[in-house]
Amino acid sequence: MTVHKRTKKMGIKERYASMTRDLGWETSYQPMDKVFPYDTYEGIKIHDWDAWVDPFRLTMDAYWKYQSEKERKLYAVIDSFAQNNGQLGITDARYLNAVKIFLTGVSPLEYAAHRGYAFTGRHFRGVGARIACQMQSVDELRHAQTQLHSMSHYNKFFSGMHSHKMMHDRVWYLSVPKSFFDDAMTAGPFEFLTAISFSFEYVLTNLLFVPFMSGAAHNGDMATVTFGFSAQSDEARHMTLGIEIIKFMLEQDEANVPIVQRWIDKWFWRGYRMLALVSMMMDYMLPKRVMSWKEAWEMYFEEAGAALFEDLGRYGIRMPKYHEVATWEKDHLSHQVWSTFYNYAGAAAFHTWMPNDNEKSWLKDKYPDSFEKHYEPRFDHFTAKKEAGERFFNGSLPMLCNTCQIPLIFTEPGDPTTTCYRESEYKDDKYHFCSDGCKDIFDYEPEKYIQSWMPVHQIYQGNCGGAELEDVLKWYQMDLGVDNGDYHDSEDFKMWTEWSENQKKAV
Amino acid sequence: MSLDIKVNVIKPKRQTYGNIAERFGEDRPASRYEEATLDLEPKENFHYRPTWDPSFEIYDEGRTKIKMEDWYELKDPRQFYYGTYTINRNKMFEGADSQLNFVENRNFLSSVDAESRDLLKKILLPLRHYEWGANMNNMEITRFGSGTSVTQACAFDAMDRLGLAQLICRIGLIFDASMEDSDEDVAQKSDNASVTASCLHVTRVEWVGEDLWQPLRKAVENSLVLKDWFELFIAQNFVLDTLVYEFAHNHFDQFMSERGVQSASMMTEIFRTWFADRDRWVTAVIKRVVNESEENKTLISSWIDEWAEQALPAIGALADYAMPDKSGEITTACMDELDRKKSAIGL
Repeated sequence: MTVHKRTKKMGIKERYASMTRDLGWETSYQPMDKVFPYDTYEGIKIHDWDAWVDPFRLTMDAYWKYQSEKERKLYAVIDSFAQNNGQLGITDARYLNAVKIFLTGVSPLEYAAHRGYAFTGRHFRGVGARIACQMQSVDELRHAQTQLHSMSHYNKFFSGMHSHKMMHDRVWYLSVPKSFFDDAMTAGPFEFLTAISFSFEYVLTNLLFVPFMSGAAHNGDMATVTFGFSAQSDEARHMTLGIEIIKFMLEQDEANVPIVQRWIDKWFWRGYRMLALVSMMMDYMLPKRVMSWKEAWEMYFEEAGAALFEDLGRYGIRMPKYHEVATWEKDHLSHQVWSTFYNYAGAAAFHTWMPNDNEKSWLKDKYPDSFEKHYEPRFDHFTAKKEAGERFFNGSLPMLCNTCQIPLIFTEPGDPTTTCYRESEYKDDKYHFCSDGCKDIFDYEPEKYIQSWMPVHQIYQGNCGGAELEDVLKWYQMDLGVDNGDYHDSEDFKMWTEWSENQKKAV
Repeated sequence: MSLDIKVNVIKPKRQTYGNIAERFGEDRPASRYEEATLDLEPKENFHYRPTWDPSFEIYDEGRTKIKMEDWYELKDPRQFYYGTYTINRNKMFEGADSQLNFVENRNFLSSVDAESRDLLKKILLPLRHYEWGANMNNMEITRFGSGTSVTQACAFDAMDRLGLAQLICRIGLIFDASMEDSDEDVAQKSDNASVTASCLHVTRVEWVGEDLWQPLRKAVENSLVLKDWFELFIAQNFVLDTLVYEFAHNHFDQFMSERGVQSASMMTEIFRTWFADRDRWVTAVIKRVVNESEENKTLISSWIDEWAEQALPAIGALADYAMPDKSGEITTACMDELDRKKSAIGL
């Protein structure tokens, strides 16, 4: 009888493995530790990279096919938006101030993520994890670029978007998102993934990306919402990477658990602080509201987050430290932040305003325990001043938190009438913080956070264009009197009013 | 005759983003490539140094000895940003896919003589690991290079290399399938049939252990530990790729054609198409860097020579194995091609 050779047909899983993790090999002309020098120093122990479960099985030909299809559709919409003056379809030009924050604060983070995932896409020892990171790296580049293209049309007509990139590097409040991402990129590869893939993309994305995109949908911003829909399937892939990396670290070695827990604590708090900007966008900046910050926090963190952490309980992971502080703050966060930006509208590249009567009743309804008592009187005072022709602008520079870089504007947990101050001493210098969460982060890695590029310190040291506020704003590349100030005194408002009147006449 | 649709014209305040108008020296509309590329990389006021390498900033022009006044001079002649890139590659790889399907469905490989078939497998398949090394190197540059115009193109190149590595895997699977078919002619599926691993597994063993591949693997591993990203660009994208592609996808391909194995050319056509396309970009980048200064020119010239020296034994070993009768001639031809490209960039 003839004995012949027969090759075994591969299953889909095996076939995918042969096209991905089989490509790598154990190097011998150069030691593996030199080829992959960065994936051990954080203390995470990985015994078996083969146990990595690919979060999605996508070969490059399939990737190009899906992605090119989405790109074609998206650019068709962007073109038609520009051709048909899509900017006329938004609810109100006030809305675009949310877009300004997105373009100067969030889009640059997409770009940073592109480079950050290129790092992990090269430097994880496990091939499966590398490929997942590489795909995310180019996805993030996609997001940065499609956002620039979608918003390019608005930039042609409205203020505050012309120098998004320089502003991100220089402007005081933009150091909040910038330092957040710089922090992640300067961490090791495992912490980077815990920070961005897990804490940010998996736990908090419904409180960042989704509110902006829903806000766009509710306010007639076809350009941004189309981008949002188009990015949805990318984000879903990124979220599966986030949960996979956490489970993988936790399953590989018990000694990884406390390290991962500390990272979760840190990045939950860091991410939450950055979301302060989103809270004010949701409650104050959208002419048509989607939901309140408080409702979003309850739905996406208190409910969904709690379920997730209950699930991770079997690995020994608990809820992030200070989550109860964040939950207490849900009644106050957006009001405190909006009030601050109202104060500093002279030094911001977007416009602020006080809520009108309709909006105030919405706020009272959504925040029955806090708005009327603590914030309405202050806002009425601001409104009265403005009506008297004395719009209030704060001319002094605030003290910033050395970790999150937000001014010390938050109140003591449980007491909305006392500002929260914390401090630490390190090498004979005093450092200030907005919260226990931020102080803890500093205390654990002081050598890292003493390096922070603190905008207010930098201004006082003379590194930001000059001694006068005007010099600094010019250095920020702000168009004075156009990009900044009160919405109702702005060119955006004037132009919008003219357009609206013309449209009415035409009807 | 032209149609004139009346539209609502609103005069814009500006034509493009400020950083781009500043580069133009005037406010005029910019292309999508320009808006998606120029100045995207952060330049200043970094908050912390990398804990994994505190000697550098997050983005640091000191990561190469090459000096450029403006890194955005290194433009991509294909003007690829994510959208144009994915649309282009989808089309390119769909074409390759139909070629592969054609070869597979017609079962062309089963009619190739055993000796040619073995040789084809031997030379072609381990190159998937070479492509994977190229993927790693271009990802490294994506992270550490300076200026989005070159780093994004390297990101695209890295993804290309993964795609090409996977394409070689597919060719391996077609070989597996063709074996199966030819075996079935000999005997019915019987329990006695010994099940062998896919030829891809064999390939991996050869890449790691067989003499034939060791000089190339050594060169690849040496490139994986390079710290200067522009030297890495030269080593991978110029020297190694020129020599490997010239050998495998030009001379070896011709050799197989001469032996009557046209199906090999059909399966690997994409490598030639792809290489011609990306070589326009590689050449443009290096040419611009060379033109910048004498110092750059000297550095690049010495890097090319160093890496050509490392690569020479790799090409020699492959030529000796595949085409022993004219191995010297083929190796020289490959080195000549590198020289030709060297003079084309002004060296």
